[in-house]
Amino acid sequence: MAGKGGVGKTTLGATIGLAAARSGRDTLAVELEGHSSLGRPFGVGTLAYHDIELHREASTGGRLRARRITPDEALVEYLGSHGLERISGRLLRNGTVDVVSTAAPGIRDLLALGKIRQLEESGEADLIIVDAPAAGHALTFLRAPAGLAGSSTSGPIREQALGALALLNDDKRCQVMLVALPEDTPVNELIETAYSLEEEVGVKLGPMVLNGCWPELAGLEVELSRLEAGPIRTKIGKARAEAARHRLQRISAQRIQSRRLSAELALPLLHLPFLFTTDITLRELTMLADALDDELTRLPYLGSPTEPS
Amino acid sequence: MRQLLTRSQVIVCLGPGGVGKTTTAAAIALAGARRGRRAVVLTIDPAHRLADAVGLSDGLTNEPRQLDGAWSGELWAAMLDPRVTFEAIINAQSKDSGQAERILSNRLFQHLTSSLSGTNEFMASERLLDLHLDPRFDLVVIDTPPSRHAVDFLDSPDRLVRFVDHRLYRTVLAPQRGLRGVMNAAGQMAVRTMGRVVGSDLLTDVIEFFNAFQGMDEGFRQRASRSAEILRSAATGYVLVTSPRSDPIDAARWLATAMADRQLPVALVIANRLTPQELVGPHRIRADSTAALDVNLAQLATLARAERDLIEALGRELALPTSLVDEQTIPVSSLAAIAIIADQLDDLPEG
Repeated sequence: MAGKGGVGKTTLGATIGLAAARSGRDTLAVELEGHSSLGRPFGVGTLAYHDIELHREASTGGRLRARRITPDEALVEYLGSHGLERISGRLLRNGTVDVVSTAAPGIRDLLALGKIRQLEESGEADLIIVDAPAAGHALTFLRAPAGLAGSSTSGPIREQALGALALLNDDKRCQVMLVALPEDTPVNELIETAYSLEEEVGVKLGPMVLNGCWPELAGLEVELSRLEAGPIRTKIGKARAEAARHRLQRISAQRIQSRRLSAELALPLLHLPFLFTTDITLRELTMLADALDDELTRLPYLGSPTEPS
Repeated sequence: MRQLLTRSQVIVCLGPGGVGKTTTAAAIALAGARRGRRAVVLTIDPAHRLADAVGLSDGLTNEPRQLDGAWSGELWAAMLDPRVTFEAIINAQSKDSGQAERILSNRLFQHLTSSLSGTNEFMASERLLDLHLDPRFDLVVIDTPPSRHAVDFLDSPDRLVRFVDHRLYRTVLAPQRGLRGVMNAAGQMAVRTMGRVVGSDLLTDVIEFFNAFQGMDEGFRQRASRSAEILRSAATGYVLVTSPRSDPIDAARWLATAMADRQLPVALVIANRLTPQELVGPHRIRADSTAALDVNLAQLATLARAERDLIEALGRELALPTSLVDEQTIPVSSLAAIAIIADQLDDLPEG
């Protein structure tokens, strides 16, 4: 999941995770920032480096787990698996890791990607959902392997960088879903990010998602124009008109943004509804997963990375 | 807000992604210009949104551009270009053009400035120092990247100082002249270990890069110390920007804690994108009304109230004043929209 901050990447990750679990897949959601709210709708607070089960779907046997990956923890694990367990703690404590990653900052991104790749290769789950850093940083994050592969000709960093590149460049293993809100700036950013990702990272783009689309309300427009035909004197009348204009304006703006996205990028586009609430609980997440299922049935067959035999 | 606008030399806008930090930073700078300040707003967000926000279609550069408008002070806007900033510092600090050339052509430098995260944050604090010292401006407003990266930005000067002072850097990455070749056993051991971890040729690049820096690290160190001083100065004000949803509120709470840990006090919480005040009510809607107008108003009023409750609770919890800004009905990609936000932040008396 990638997109500008605040467009609902994390919520979308949880929605897809829930939908996938309901359909019987063993799903793992991964967060990278260290303080995401991925588990919140399921009543789980901070995520840990090991995975926690968020949801189990008895009827299908599918489930959703979540965990975090931080570069420091990934490094300790990597060193441990290369026979350097004893020094790994010391390297962290005495600041060596800090110095190395200051000298070559992309190393932190590569460590996180390397861990994701290891999870994918070991068959840890049927589907791994990664909550990427916000747009600008998602690009630097996904560009790190190419940057580091180009700057070293041998050694473990190059191996790791090439491994991560192989994952990113194989559309059967990895796709990026871009998310936006139906507003000018997030849509601009989605389009820019899409071009940069295709050109500079060579990663396959999956369906785009337009989050927070205001649902239409039958009759609202007609009722508003009837109200506006005469003078509006009462307080409640003014509030009714104001609220109706507020919603109609958003609906018209999102139509424009939806058309722009479809015109600019030849990718399937999914719409998820705006929910009139400040918090996403399991109830809202279920509504979103239902909406996602509906949207998916309207799409042509997208193909599956693991074709059932 | 008024105190911040009249007394601060630097205002830093922090907050999670997507809450309108860039627009808020521009609005604060504009409000400053209205109060006669010579204000410059710098965006360090790699997502390049300030140009949109101030309606400059042909973009912004590292060099501030002045924006015209009806205010008594001045309003300038710039966007951080890490590469240009890095090159400028290297050219200014190097002993001769040969040294500058060696650094600029180093492979590691090439991708440090083009593709790797972390560099932006370092360069942002460098740029903040430049603009702060620039006699053209008396107020620098900076927009920061989202949450965790904002903290990286605040930490970067100290981190650079720690880096240059670290034993490993002193003995391995940039041994002083005369000491090279007599690296002690601990140094050799460290090089071998790092070689196993990162690969020896990358390490060679790193060492070459820092060797090319001979004599310049002290300059960098001094600048970083100055930046760190500015960030800790009483003339620097921190504003926490958020929006009325539980996720950004959580992120704002996390940031407030991270700031408190660093003893950098947040002065104000600005909540953006609220459902307009007029819709809060209470409204006398008949509960059984099926009219679309009523259904819609009830939905929006409930939302508007929940949003205000959420912000109020955050303000109480953090013991900070809050400033509410309604969601804009005109696109924010214009100076006019930014002026409206500036009005809501600072109701300046006429004149």
